Amino acid sequence: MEPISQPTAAGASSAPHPCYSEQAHRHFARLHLAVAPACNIQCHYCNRKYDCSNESRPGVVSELLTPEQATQKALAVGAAIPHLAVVGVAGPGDPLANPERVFATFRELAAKAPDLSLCISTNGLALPQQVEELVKYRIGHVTITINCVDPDIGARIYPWIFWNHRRVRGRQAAEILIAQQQKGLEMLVTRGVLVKVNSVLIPGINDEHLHEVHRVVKARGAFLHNIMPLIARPEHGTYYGLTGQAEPTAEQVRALRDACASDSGGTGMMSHCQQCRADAVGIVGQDRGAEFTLDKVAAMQVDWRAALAKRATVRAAIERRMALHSQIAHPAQPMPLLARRSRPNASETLRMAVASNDGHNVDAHFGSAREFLIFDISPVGAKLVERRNIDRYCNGPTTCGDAAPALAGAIAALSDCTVLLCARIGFEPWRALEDAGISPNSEHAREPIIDALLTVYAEWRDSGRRAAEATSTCLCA
Amino acid sequence: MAFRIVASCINCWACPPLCLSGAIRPAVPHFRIDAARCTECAGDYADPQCASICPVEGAIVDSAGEPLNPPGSLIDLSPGSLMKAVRGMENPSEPSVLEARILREHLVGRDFRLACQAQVLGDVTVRPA
Repeated sequence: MEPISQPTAAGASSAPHPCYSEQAHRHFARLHLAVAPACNIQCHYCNRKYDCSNESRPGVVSELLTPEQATQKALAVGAAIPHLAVVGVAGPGDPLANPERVFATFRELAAKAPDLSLCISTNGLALPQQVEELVKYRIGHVTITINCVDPDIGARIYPWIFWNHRRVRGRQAAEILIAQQQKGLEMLVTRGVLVKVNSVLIPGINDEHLHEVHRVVKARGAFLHNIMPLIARPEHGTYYGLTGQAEPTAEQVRALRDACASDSGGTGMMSHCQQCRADAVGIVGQDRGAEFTLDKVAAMQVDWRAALAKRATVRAAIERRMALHSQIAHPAQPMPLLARRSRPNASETLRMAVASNDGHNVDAHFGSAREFLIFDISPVGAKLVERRNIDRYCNGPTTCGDAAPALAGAIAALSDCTVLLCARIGFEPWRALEDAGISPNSEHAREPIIDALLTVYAEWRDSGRRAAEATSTCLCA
Repeated sequence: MAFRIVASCINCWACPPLCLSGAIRPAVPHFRIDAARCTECAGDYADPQCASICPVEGAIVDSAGEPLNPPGSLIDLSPGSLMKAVRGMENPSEPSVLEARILREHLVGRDFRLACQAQVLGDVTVRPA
């Protein structure tokens, strides 16, 4: 598996942030406080009117919070979920278009939960004038969504911005926004804040251009670059959704991430993003928002001092476990795997998808898996290519039609895989997967992932499938 | 001389901090403008501030009831191209609840006549904003 590293940049925060470390993402919980409703720009992939409790995508929330409610919710979640490490504001609008609400919340939390790492995710328009304030509240992580560095491209993504008391449109708007984003990025980096840049991959609009974005933001000191697929469906009512703008395929996203990673020497690309809601609660992929609605939080008695102490104990235990796990998963010696060769041959590489909840064992039911771990296995070793989300649109079958489209979506997302490992799978999806050329396999339920991968790879190699495939691609078997 | 906020307001809090005269107040079911206080920003800004940041077309109207941000002005979709998009996704013998909801959200306050022509409306009540 590829090494999973914690931030190590100069001035890096030591807080385990799920977005900034794939390992932290599995062990530590985060909370998004929906305290920032207003926005100062319009993006073509966003619809400010829309709100759906069954959807999981950025910008969507169920309940808007006042700063008092937000503080209360964070303290309640911090007491009930002691592995909570991060509290962020990501919307539903832009945090920095709501500075009073956001900073009032952070002020309270800095006093009552000083161990929790605070972060924001912003479009960057108001960033330069707020940087000093952010530093004051010891905000160690900031995400800026940067989709372009070319105003002509920006004009096709942003219809307008609100700037100096006017609504500014078109190329001029994009020009101002880009300048503010770049200036803000530079100011944060200078002050030792870790910056993640999110870029939405919009096929035909900024797909080629994101190489340039990657170069520019890395040169300015961005710690991580996260290329995310555009979500655009007619039912979301966004400009892109209504005009039939295509979403990228999983393969397009992966190819661009790989290309950018190789541009910058294989570092600083994020591949575990789940495109969370702006009111997400808990470990990524296991949302517990329903336990912390406004009325439920109001009824909770929270002892924030006791919660603080409990979190310290739990965090120390998790960190010990993570250190141990990392020794097992990344031993000093390479993977004990088959014959070792320096470079894998494409025909010897098997791509497998694994349904796993805990990230260690094949323990998830195909139908309920929200993400799959995608591995490439070759005689050289097993490489975790990415964590791939298949259920980012909707999981409410009662409001969004039957399960067939969801199944088709899952299969399309796995189309590059030859084998799917899961704990259980129904008959229908089994047949549909086979029809799509993907072999489902539930024989290794609850086994450690790495053992299952090795066993299945050895079987695949021996079974002559490789020979058959080699023949079909005109290679000698 | 005063503006008015109508039902399509989404209570996003963008406008109150911008109002110099403090005329915009949170209210149920949506924000309201105190007509006695609203100056339409005359003499202070070239453009009325509330309408310059409002993300919803048609949500703020002038004293004649005309929307300050008319249909198609904020998301660059004219009623015509919106209908084209809607027709592209219709194809229904029976419209789904979801489709009906989209239509209601997007056509109300835009072009009532076009909305009524859409074949997919089913039994959903569409009314002008």
